[in-house]
Amino acid sequence: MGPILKTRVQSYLRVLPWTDAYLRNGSFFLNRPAVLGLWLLGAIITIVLIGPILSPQTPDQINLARTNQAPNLLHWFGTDHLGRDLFTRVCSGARLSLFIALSTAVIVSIIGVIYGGFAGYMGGWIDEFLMRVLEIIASVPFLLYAILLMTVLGPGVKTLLIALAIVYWIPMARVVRGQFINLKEEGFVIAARVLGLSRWRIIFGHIVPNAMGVIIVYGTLAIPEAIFAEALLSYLGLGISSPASSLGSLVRYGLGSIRLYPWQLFFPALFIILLVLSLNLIGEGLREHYDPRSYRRGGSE
Amino acid sequence: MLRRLIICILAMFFIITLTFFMMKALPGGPFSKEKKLPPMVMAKIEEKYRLNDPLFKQYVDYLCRIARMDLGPSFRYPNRTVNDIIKSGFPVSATIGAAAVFFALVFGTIAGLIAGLRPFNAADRILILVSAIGFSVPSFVMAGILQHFLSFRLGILPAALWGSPQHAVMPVIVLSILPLAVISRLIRTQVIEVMQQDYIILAKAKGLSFGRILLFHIMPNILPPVITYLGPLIAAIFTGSFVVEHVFAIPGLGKFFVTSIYNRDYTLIMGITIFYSGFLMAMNLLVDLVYALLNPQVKYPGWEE
Amino acid sequence: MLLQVRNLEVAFLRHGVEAPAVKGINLSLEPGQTLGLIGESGAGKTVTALAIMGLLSPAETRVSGSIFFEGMDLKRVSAKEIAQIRGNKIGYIPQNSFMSLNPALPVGMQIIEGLLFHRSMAFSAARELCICLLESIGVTRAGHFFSAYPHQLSGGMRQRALIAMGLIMKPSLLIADEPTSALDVTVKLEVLTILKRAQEGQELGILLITHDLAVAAQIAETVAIFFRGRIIEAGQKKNVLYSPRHPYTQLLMENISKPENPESGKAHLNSRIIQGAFTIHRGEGCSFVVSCKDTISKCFEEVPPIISIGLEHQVACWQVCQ
Repeated sequence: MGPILKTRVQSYLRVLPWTDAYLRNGSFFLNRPAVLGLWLLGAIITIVLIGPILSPQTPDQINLARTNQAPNLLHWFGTDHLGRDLFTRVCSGARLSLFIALSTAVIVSIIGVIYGGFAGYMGGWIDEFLMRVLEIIASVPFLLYAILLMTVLGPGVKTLLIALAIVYWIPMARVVRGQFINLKEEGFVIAARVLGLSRWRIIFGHIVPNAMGVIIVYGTLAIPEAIFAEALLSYLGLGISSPASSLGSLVRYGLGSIRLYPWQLFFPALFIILLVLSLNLIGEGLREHYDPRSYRRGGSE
Repeated sequence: MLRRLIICILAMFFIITLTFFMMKALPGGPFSKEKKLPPMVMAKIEEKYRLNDPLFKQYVDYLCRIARMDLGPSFRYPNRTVNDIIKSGFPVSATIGAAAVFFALVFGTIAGLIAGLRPFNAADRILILVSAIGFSVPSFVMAGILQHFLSFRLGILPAALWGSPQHAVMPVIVLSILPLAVISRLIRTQVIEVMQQDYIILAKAKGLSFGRILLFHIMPNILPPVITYLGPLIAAIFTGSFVVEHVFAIPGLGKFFVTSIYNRDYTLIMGITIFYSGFLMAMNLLVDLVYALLNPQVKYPGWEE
Repeated sequence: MLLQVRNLEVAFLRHGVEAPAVKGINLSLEPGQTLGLIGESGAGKTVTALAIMGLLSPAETRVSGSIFFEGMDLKRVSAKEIAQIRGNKIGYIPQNSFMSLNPALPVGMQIIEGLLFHRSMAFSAARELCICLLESIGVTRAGHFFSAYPHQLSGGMRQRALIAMGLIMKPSLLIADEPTSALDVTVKLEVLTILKRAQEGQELGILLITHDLAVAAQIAETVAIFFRGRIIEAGQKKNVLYSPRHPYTQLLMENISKPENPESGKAHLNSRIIQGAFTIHRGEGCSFVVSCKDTISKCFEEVPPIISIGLEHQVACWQVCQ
């Protein structure tokens, strides 16, 4: 059982791109933009987690005597129209946005893997049918779903999660299905079938670890999309609303007062941009790592 | 092809049904926002809009009316029909959208070519960086920033509303940023891949000029993924237009849609949703058609001799 | 002298390190003659051909030595001049017929491109010329063929298209890289006949690259045997092939006469015997030592130079020339 367990653990460890990069050849770390993205993300997360501890302010405290202040020593990012400290609000907003985005990515990955994996593995008419259903669901533009859902179920974190999840599992499912179709014919799968392993065991124990590459890539790329979508919805007024803050709603307020108090827009927007940028860079780096074919320098061999 | 058509029709049914039932599930109607109306008036209104009929009958009614391309009057503005509103808003959105698509295609292709022909050069690295930023900045942020600098600070472009070509400049720019980034990346990758192909070596061995190689050998082979992207591109332009029209106060379809949601204007919401989805699907079918026509491997399958 | 290559050396630059591909290559070709370059895949034949045409990117390769074509030093001409020569006076028939054709253009267009570009011929005139040529090389329904796309044609058809591409400009030198390797035996023969006929008509010099000794034996007058980046035997066909002196050549010729070997006649020996390496053998000594049966101590110390041992016969082996 020993060696089998070890390889099993190893194959699941590949979930963490760092360990996988280490296990393979560390080429991920040679990719400068990706590493930059990693640092950036790390920096943001640190600020967002530790910053509020260091600052004496809280995000919700209304202080009408100190409204709309420019950044100063007391309020590092200034204050909003109700005198609330923007730094802590941005931090907590970022935390919320990240939480939403991460949860979406995880949920989306799980749904996508199950749906896509099942369709890809079963093949035949089951696959055709599932894919047609997918196409029908996919033909509705995302915003429509989101808007409709939000108006029906009301704003709030939970509905936001549902709305995002309903839409973003689709590309993941497609990609996973593709991988499964390819992997299905591989030797080790046939061997497992011959051994008589149950279907689910084959799917989760054998095929999924080998499809981890694409799962990670698309999961990582889903996170910034979710942040974007949340920001968009909050901007349109359908996401999180006061007093809770998310980056999107902060931008919304910020845009309103851009002429007079530009910092109210600047900081939340900056955080969105940097978060999305760093995640995109990491995601692209992961994609190059797992599929370097199209990024190789043009040349012989 | 036929299969796609069937899926589209099914999808339309799906959307119509979805929007219909969701609207019915919405708390409050268009009139609950305003002051309470006397019950007699309410009853009249409900009858006019057939709100009292059993749900299924309402649904069937609606389906029939859609078949006749009649989307009904707007709840909120009973004097105007949904069709009118769509007719007034669509050309505006379409203009901006088309301009943005054109802009993104042309400049994206040029940028992608420059980057791809000399990979990992200075120009290429700049492109990768700039396009990464292009993916990462939300459109409303960009819109707000441009508005701030170009309108308020420098005053060279009007901040909002619609009427003259200058009004279109900023919205089109903002709308085209994301597609531009994507297209230039796509083309770049494709150019790198094509340049490694044997037929390019052969073209060089024939001593052809670079211009000729570019035009006849490189260009036709880098287009496929871009054409495939056109479908999602149009969808992205639509969603982008919601935001852009909101920020720049442009009387386009997106803006009406967003306001209709605030107002709980059922018929308008449903009408625009259906129109929008139908249009998108038509566009997707068109893109597929174009792709099939342009790709010789689809046009003439099979062997000769 | 149509083509004269002296001391050609090509090295690939990879991550700042040089990886030599061919070394010490000497070739000469007269008009109307065929020179066969024989060797296994990776021995350096295609690299030599690309170097002659100047198609190796200077950023990734270092090319030294001299290449004279019709008296011109190809390494010193301007880019413009060499573009005039390529596809015009030097024709090239590439190896892989599917990958070498642009999938987006009809085959006919690709064949006449050279005429349209180099000779500014009108389209209809070029098309007629092309159809004539195609018919002469055995393509039926040449009109259809002209407008067909590469994916519509079979391997043999595509190869014919590439041959037409090479011949249509009536070049003085034709470099044919494995023109028959993807074809079946009957088609092989046809292709070789076409090449031979074209040669007679035009005083065409052909540089034929192949790993199939039988093919070379059929149409080449002189041959050069490549092994791991170097020429180890060269000269008149009757000398090299029918009385080979280098152990490697002897091994190849032995394999030809083994009827049970399905790959008989091809430079395609068991990889256990020959480490089919891509790069040149570095280090001291002859590169064939690993599999050579009669080595002397000098074989391990110095690379044997190629020495003339008779009229039109050169060998690079210490055994043969002390």
